[in-house]
Amino acid sequence: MSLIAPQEGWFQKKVSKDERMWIVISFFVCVFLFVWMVMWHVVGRQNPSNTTYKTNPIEFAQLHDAYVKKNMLGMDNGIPVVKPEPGSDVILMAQMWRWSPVLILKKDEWYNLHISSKDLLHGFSLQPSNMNFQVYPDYDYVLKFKPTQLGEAKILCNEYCGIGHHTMIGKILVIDSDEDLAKYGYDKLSTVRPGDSETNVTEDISGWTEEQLIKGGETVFNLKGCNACHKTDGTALIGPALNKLYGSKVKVNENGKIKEVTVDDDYITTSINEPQKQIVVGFENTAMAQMNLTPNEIKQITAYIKSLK
Amino acid sequence: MSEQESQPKRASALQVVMDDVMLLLFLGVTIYAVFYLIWGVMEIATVPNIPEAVKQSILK
Amino acid sequence: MFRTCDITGFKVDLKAEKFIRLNAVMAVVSLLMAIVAAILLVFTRYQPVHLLDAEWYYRLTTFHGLNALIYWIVFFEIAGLYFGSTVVLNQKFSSPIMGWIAFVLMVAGLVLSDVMILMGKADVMLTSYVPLKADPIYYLGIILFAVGALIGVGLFFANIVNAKRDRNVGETLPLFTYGLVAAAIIAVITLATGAIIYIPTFLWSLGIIDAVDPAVYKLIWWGLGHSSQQINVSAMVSIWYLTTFLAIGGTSVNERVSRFAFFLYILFICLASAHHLLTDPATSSAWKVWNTSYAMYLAVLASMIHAFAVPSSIESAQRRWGFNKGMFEWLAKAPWSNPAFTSCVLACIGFGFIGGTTGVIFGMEQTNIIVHNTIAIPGHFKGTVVIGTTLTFMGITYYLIPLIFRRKIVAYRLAQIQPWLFFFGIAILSVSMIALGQLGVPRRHWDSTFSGGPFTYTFNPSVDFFWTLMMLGGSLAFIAALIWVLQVVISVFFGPKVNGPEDMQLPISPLAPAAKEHKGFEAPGTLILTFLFLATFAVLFFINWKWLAATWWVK
Repeated sequence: MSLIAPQEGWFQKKVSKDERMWIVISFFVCVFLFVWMVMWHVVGRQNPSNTTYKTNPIEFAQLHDAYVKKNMLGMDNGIPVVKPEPGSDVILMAQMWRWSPVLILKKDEWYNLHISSKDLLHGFSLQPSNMNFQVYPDYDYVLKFKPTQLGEAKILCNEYCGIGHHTMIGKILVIDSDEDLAKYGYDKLSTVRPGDSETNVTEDISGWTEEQLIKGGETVFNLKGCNACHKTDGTALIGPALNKLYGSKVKVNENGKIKEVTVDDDYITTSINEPQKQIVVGFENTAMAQMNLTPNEIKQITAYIKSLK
Repeated sequence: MSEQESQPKRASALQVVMDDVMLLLFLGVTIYAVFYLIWGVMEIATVPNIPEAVKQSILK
Repeated sequence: MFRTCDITGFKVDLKAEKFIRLNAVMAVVSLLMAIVAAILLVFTRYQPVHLLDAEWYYRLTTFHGLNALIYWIVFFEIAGLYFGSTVVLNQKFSSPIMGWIAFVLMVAGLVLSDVMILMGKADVMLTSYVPLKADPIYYLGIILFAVGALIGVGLFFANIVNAKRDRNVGETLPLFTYGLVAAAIIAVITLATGAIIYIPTFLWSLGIIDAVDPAVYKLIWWGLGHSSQQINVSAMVSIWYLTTFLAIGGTSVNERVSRFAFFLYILFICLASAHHLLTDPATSSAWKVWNTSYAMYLAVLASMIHAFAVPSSIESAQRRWGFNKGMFEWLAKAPWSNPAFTSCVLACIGFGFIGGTTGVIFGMEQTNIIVHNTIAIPGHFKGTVVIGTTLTFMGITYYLIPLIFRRKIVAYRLAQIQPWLFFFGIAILSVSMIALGQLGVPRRHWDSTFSGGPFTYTFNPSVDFFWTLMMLGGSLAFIAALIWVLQVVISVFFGPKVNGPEDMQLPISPLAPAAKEHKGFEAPGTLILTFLFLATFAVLFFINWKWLAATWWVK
């Protein structure tokens, strides 16, 4: 009688035998589920971590850059590769649109992954194991992992983070011993190493040769993740390609007005410092993020771009 | 409150609660606000900074 | 101004009737927009077609989410709340002026936000996690809509208070309206939470405040996002009781039990907003476990009570009508030619077996690790919101058209098969999305071949099969939903007028005869069905925990 008030005495009516039976069973199922979740913290091997630290994108990017410079073995497709010591603190940074660095981990060892984002929310999705965690800017989520499966794992991003979301994919290699590295082509990593502290961001670089600047620029380019959007082989991905760019003329959109500018030192500096000021025509919808580079780094990047033929 | 004029029988306390729309509104909002919102926001607000030791071990 | 309904005998306030009509029409418009976007999205994710470019894929994902999950459902619920607090109680609509204000605000909100999305100024997904930023007008639209809806809910409470004052109803409300009270209370929680989070976000997008903390945003946003779906659950269950009553004169076997279940919903169901934060930093496991389990699963207990109470109300009435042979004659001889009844039963099955089981399992703190943000999550809520709520709303509309719009249903035969088509379409869509998600496929992802990325990943080859299945299920559901929209629109605007009981295509049953005194089981068939449900749940439960146990160790 769902449309009319219930009969007199409805509150006193006895619950039928079968309904009572069902309610009692249901109640025990509910208690069981609750206890199960609590018990899994005691006996289970997979529990979301309870360790979080507050950070901010600038601090975390500093940690990432320092960590990568110190431990980098080489590059894989433009992303630095590191092989952390078991039990150590590992920095994994998410940014639009890459995971950095690539990690080489040993099976059955523990690692403290510090995961945070430089910009938006991202989703850490480890495949094929299929483990998924949320990554925030401003919060450093410390997940203690012990890899139990050998081989290449990929980190997909499964939180929408802008137009290049689908290109955001990282890598974790799990090995038994260093002999395995050859199997995955990691015995001879491309050796674009950060020129042994040459890329210091603040020290005086006025005496550097052009060659040193170019080499430093390439490191900054890879370290900062520029290659997530800008290719150097002529293909326009999310941002314009950077080869054969210096000295050419490009059409840009400045506050809705289209004009033509020449790519020179000033233009590159402005583009990095104020990415929204002049946007290359055709790329209005894939606005570049604020990268916060030092003048030194910009100088090196400019030299690098100039060298790209 | 539970005494009804023409009827000798009492409505039980639970029935009175369940029939009181405004009380239900109050209970629903309160339980949710306390357990979900306030407790949750408090935990987020008390997250500590990255320990200096961890930071230095990476920056050095 | 009242008219007395010549079919049901209720006194219908003409003002209330107008607002019910207006809100229902807007609901259908929203649904139409949502399903058009949906079919484009299905054919984008189906890689062999890959229809839209990345920009429009994300744009329409935002558009689909907002129109399907918020506008379609809330407009329909406001219509339902007005119906349950006026017509059912023979009550006057408390304030037509406020009714207009609520409606205009809601429509304005819909227009502003939808236009912003289509102009490409709000490619932020329904969730719009900060620091992802949309145009201020987008947030303004949502705020206006929420304020309008909140006024609508306020009118519902006002109607009920007035009805008690005018002695149109006693202390105890009819069960249908009682369930709507639960929905309305949850709606207050939802909409107030929405205001708490959207107003600072709006100010932030205007540049007035500097930043909104991303973790606080996500926590509060889900107080809106998840609770809004609990409004649906309550409204949907209320309609199940209503449909049973209209179609076969059945009623809950024990009203105290059913009402107590709604009472548990009011107290605990909104805590489950924590489902979305289980694999997130910042909150502790204590907070997660307590909230995700609705305070020790008391709201799940409520759903399980309804899972018995709704089918048993059908079984009990059918047995009293004489369909008493064996365990399941009552089910076989049920009025399957009544589309409202069919929708209700199918919604109940889909909601329980697909949405309910996966909801509880995916919502456990640890098992969430293997599904968070995968396509299994939208797969799960296709099982709750689409098979459950949407199909239920579609079904009850077949009663609304003759009773409230006073029109006959055009092409009635089509209405009789539509629920089946929709049910199977969404069931296939939903199950295949859940399977894909458990294989790791992400949700809201334009290209799962990762073109342009530095690496690539190849999913388990069986994904191809499930993608095809998803595309087929999606297409079937789209056709079924389109049939429903067209039929409703044509009937309401061009259908022949209903002039009396003889024009009713769907029967309204008299009350089932009173039960003979009997001891023992009231609804043995239902008990078997609920045990079947429990067995399905147990199997899925252990499969998922087994999968979890096979992953890397993490703590």
